Amino acid sequence: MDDYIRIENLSYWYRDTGVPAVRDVDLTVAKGEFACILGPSGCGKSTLLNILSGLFTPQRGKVTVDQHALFEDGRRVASEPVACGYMFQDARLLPWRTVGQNIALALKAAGFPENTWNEIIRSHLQMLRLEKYESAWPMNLSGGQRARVAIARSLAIKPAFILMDEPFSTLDEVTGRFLRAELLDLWERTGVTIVFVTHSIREAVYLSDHLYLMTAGPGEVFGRETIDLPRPRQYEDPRLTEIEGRLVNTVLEKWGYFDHKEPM
Amino acid sequence: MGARVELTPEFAPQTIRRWDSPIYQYLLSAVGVGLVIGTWFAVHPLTRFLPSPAEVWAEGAILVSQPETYASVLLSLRRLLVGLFVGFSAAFLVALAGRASSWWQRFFSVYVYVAITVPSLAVALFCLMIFGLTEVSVYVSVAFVVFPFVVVSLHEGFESLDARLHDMARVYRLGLVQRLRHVAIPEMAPSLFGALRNAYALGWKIVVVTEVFSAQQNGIGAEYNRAYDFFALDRLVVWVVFFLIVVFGVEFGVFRPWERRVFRWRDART
Amino acid sequence: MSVEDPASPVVDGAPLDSSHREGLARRALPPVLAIVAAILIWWPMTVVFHPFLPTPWRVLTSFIDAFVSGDIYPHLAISLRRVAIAWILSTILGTVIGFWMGRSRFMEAFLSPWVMTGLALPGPVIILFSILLLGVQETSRLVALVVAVTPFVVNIVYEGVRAVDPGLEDMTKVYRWERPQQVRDLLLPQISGSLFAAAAFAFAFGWKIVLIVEALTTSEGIGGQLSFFFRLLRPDKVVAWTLTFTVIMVLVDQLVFKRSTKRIFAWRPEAQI
Repeated sequence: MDDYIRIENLSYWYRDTGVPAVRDVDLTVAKGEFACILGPSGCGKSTLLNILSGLFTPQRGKVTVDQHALFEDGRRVASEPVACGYMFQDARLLPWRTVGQNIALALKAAGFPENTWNEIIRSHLQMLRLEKYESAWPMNLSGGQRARVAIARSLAIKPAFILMDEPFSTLDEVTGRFLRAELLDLWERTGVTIVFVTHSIREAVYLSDHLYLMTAGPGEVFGRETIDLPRPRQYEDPRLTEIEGRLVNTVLEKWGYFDHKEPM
Repeated sequence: MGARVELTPEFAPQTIRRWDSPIYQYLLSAVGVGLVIGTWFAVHPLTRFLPSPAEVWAEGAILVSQPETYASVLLSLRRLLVGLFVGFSAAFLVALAGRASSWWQRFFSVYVYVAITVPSLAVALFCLMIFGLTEVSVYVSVAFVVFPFVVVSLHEGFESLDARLHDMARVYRLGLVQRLRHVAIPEMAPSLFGALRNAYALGWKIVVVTEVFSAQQNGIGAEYNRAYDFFALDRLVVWVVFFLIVVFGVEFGVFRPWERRVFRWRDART
Repeated sequence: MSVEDPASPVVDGAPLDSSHREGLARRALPPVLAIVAAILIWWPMTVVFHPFLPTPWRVLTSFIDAFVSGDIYPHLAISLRRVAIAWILSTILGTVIGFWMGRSRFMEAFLSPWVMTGLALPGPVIILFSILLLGVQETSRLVALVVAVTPFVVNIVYEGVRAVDPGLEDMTKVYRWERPQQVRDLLLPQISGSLFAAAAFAFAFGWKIVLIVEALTTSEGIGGQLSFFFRLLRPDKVVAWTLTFTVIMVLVDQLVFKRSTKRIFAWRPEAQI
């Protein structure tokens, strides 16, 4: 199996202050894989996603997606832009556009012909059980519903991969669990590649095929864990707890006192 | 969970009074207006200078039937709109330049400061002397007075643009037109509305000031002047009412419904 | 269209505020150039609009002349007195009405149509009314000034009172604060900002509206003289006298209401020095 997303020797520092955000990161994600990046806050996880999505240009290193180079040694390589879905920490919907219009805008920008939008919107809203809310305003929705709209939007554009930046961290515990299970179900049905960033060890173990451990900022990847528990997984599975416990020990050493700044 | 605090009725928070219902509010407003008009009815026979409501009504009826009345209102309205258009255009360019570079912002802030500070009477008189008793004088006066306030509003609007939505638009590859139409303009809508409202209210005032001093034959300000020259208080009252009808007509007939429509997505927040 | 915007300062961390590194000279350069540019445009315009637009030189001599001859002082005194009286009266009256409207839904509904009308009426209308009702006398001028300024004071104070945090008020009710304590420790700290803003606005608006009142009713006072010069077609004098009055009023404004001026122009980089 080829590496679908490949990051080699990647470094990024903030242009104005020169403070490094990530350093010498190597990382590969296979097609259709659910990969988690686990690190304390401020370790540059989000920076990594911003590079993969094309928001930031790294100063050093190489990023390849599906054998097309995106960045090479600090340059953006001119090539076919890769469509990517992005779930931010907040749902980041346009509050003045309806749920349907929000998805339609992403479709339009991604170049889908207009006569296909309705069908795509309907099927994706159905998939997330939101069909009732197509013409609702985002502010009329609960936090969980908004997160589901954001998932629908990221899936609708048929992305090469989806990036998720702690998308469930602001939701309450029950909604969060529910959405995690729902996300896994969608992932299995669509076969999409997901790169999921989190600071919660249990969330990472529950979700991922492989998880990458990052040090506190400037972030370096110091470990790769393969979670080969069968799916569907149970949140309270003792094997999951066991892996989590082992990871906590590994991580405590590297994160030092950073962990207690992140109440779960 | 802390202990629950039982509130005695008179200390209960936010007691709903019966004055709070909208019907009472409108009723009270009507009473407020009616009381003053009622006082007028009662008091006018006691004075020499107050016209009777009947006289004012008759005067109003005459003016309403005359086409010159509408011509005057429309002329003032045209002066206002042209002035506003010029002022907004200039302000938009300056605000854009200020957004593009802080150098230009510092450069133009001198002009903005001067335009905010200069009294409108001086603006009107000066324009009337330079451009003569022409339409251009009114246009320039309105544009000049309105300009700095619009620049400030637009500047505030630019400041309120949210970098997070901008990122989202970039990730999903929204084009420039889409970003303007669906992200930037809706985001700036509150400041744009604020600018429009203020400029409209302010613009009317300067139109009237310029018209009063320009000795022109028509326009609402000229009508005020004429009524004053004839010592015709009834006529002045009627013209003030016409003026208020135009001002509030646009406020309640255009701005409010338009705003309600644009901000209908906010309903849920309350 | 490319997604990347390499120069975007917003995305890649905080924008680099270069103004802190620049010296005063570089900071002062754009405003100075702006003034120079205005004069450079003004001068050729005097040819275009000859003889109506005076040269900067002509304005300067009128400016000096007004002081040297002493013509301006009595008019300044008259206008200043009117501004002061109107400012005091409308600030007090507006604060009382605004506070009352903010605290009582009854007064709010009762008075709001009149406040809205007062906000919408142009200055000339108010003064014409006042003259027709009270005759040409000093009182009618002062009444017109107060009637013109007060609605704005009412509006600012009213909004300030309405913005008082109801949660805090509930807290004071739970702890059964006495009325004086409520006013002193709960209300005043929360509305002092808007009271100050209202007073500053009353002054800033008052000295402008006084010119219109004077111009329409008298030849005494700065406004009266402005309309006199206007009828004589002396734009140089109009500019010079306006400039004098404006500079004095801005200085008073700066000295008395320093804080509010800073806030209003806070967006201007110079004001942050």
